Amino acid sequence: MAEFLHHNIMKDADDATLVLEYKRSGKLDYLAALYQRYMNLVYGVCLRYFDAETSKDVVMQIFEELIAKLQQHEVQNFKSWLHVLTRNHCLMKLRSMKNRENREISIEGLPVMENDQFGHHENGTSMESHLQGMEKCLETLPEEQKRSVDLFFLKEKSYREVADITGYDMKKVKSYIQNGKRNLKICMEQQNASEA
Amino acid sequence: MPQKHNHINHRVDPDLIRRYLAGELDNKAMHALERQAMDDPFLAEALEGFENHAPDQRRHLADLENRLALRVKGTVTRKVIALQYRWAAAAAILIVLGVGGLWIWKKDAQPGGLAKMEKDQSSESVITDTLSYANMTGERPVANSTSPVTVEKGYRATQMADSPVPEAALPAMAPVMSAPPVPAAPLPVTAAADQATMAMADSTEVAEKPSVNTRVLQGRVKDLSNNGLAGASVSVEGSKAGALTDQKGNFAIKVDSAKDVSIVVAAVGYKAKKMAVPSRENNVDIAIKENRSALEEVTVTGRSQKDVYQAPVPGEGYEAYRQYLSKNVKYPASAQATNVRGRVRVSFRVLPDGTLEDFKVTRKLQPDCDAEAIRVVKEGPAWLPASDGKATRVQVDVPFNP
Repeated sequence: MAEFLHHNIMKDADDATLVLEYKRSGKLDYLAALYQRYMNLVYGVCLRYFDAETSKDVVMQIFEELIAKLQQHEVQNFKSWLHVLTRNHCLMKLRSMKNRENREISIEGLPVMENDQFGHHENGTSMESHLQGMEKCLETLPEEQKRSVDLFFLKEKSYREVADITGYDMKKVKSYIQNGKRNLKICMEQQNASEA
Repeated sequence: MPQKHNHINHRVDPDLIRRYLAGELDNKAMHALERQAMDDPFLAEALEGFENHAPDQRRHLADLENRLALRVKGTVTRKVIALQYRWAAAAAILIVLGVGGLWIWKKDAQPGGLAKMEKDQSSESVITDTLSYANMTGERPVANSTSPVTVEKGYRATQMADSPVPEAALPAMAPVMSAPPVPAAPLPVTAAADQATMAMADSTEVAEKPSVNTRVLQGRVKDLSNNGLAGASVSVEGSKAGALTDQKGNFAIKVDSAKDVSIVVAAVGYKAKKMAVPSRENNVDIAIKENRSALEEVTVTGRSQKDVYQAPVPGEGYEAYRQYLSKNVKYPASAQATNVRGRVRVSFRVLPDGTLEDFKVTRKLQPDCDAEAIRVVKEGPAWLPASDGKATRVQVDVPFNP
């Protein structure tokens, strides 16, 4: 029975509970259960920088880092925090590798991530709620961005479909949507500001 | 309360990602995941990572689960990792030895007859050298007749072959590093010229023969303090050509010889740099700047754009404000007499309505200067209040430099 309950906590408790349980007990079981939830994402991020074998080692190293760091830090949103920890770890490792050897990874298109992206870990409904304002703003976007954003957000097409419909390159579609979204956001914020 | 099961939304099924990347999902499911990634930078970045690899990472993920389970059970993975480093080091040493050996072997083997000739001639080369030198100056010594012409020719050939040969061995190891065979200076002795051209043609063939319309663009990527940067990527804009720099920051890329090209240099922790290279230029040194923010940008803040705090600023900006100060500060006579110069730091509060109050001097210079500094700030242009609508203390340095 106790075994069953224990198992249940590991599976169903939310992140914050597991963080607390780990901090309280220091038991790795809790931390591992938590880490397992996001291990594929951690691994995926590592794959951006390293090959598969190195990435796996890095994933395990990050777990080791977690063991210590989680005890020291007050963590509100475990997932975001883990994301940042992962990136930092990868970048530090890259940096040290850079000094050590000639590595064979492409560093093209390395993170040009904007800070404001980190604010949006909650599954956002922010976009839909401003539909009317959005339509006005949509008109101000460059043609490619407008079409891509419209198809993706309003017509709910996948990247592949957008690329098929518009004839744009798949990679470009992604950046059109991302830039379009950012421009929309800026435009809508200005609208809100002028209304208020 | 949905909060309780929040994490279920946050987790992304690895199998979903695999099927997405393999193109097995229908459009609707694809779109759903893409939408999710849009609001979840962690997922977005992970997807980007997966994209460059085989879609099926199940073996690796299972391996990870295993390693995690072992780690929790108390099997120390650290040792395993350390051990792997040791193996890696051993492997690296073996590779270095292997490649080195190969290189030496190739160097011995490749020049073939020429190298032999070089050996044979080495004893005579000193003599022939003087001979040919004498030829150049036009004084044909009698000794020339005792030295057969073939020897001189042979020596010439060796001399010509000498410089390209070590390079010829290089492309096998690092094609990026190989420079095109540099044509030797034209020979002053016409008798040897034919022979020389032949030798040159030979050695060019041994080396990687550049096709007619490409040239090798080489150079070095360095930081601002002139240290070569290893592993920087150098690419040619609008083409697939590119290279990574070696340990000393050197690179070489084949480009169209007729065209001006534009190359882009990028390295982790540095600002990318684009540079135009005209068609006649084959040697470039590129210094790139460190980009601290690229590595340090990763602080989490829970704020959205509009919450960004903006401190009070002068109504027309700092530049205009500085100009106002320099124009309107009256240099007090007492200060002039004693030749006092420097800055007075004035501290004051900017109220939510933009008015200023509570002036203090926080860095004194001389009583009259201090008073003048307060006057000039007090009578100065209006300020914009802080964005949070609170009264905020600000400091301004007023210069006294007649």
